[in-house]
Amino acid sequence: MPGDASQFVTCRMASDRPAGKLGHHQPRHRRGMTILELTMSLMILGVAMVAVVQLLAAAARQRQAAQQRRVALAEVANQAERISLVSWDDTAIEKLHNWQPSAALDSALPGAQCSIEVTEQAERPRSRQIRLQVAWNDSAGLPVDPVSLTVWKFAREDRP
Amino acid sequence: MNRRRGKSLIEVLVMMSLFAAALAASTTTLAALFRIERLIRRDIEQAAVLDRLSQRLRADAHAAVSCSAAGRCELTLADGREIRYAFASPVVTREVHGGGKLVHRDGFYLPLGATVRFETEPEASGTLIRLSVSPAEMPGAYSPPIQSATILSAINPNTDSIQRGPAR
Repeated sequence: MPGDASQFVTCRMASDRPAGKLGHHQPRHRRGMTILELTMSLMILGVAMVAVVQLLAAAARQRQAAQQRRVALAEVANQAERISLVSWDDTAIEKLHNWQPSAALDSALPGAQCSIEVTEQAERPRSRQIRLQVAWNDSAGLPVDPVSLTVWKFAREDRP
Repeated sequence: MNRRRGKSLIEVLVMMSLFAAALAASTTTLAALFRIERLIRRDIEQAAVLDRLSQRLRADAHAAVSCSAAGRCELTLADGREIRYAFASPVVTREVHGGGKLVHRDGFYLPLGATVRFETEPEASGTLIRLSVSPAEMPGAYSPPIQSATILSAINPNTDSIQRGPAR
């Protein structure tokens, strides 16, 4: 058949060509592919970059959260030092309620809530458990795990 | 045959400009990544040093019977030994003097650009030592901000307070 013959001829011609010459037809297709390939690789790179930028933002948020927690820890430790100076009589539940947050806490954690909770132990040795707590909300407005520190005060005559 | 040779100038230009844009974006991202890594590392180092310093200072202050803090901090213990804290950028030194000679010395290295002040703060029922860490004023010099910190230590508290629970 004529069709078969032409196919045969084409095949022969193609197979007779040296390998280098066969490649000459390919650049016609690749001319368009270069830009397409590049665009695709750029898109993949863009997706990767978006992921990296999100990671960067997350790292910055974590750093801020760590700093806020550090400030809160320093605040409760400093308040515990103040309370260690206060005498037994002045640590009664009705007397120990004023806690002025420091300027550092105010600037790092605006709106933080500082609370003191005193629990009396009536049996001997007489003691008071003083729990200091700083609670605050994160940048998304959600409450974080508060920082707390507990100090025990013992009556002078009942000291262990 | 001539058209098939190599790439056209336009193609090369487009390719190069796209490549340059990709390179610029990745360089900027990498620079930001390195900066954040450096900041976080410095924060952690500073926090560790301040933690060690505050433990030492508080233990010394609790055991001290008297204190003077003018520029540097001098604590006198009940047994006559003296503990001196001084700051010479970037290190806070702690020296223990006993019997007229230096017995021990510690160093607490803070990040460059931090300044430390010692002050006494009289309270109604005693005295506190206030150690403040703040960024030094260096006009024109670029450096990422140092995180400020304050450590209060009670001088010889009347030991009604015995122990502390774990901080959470």
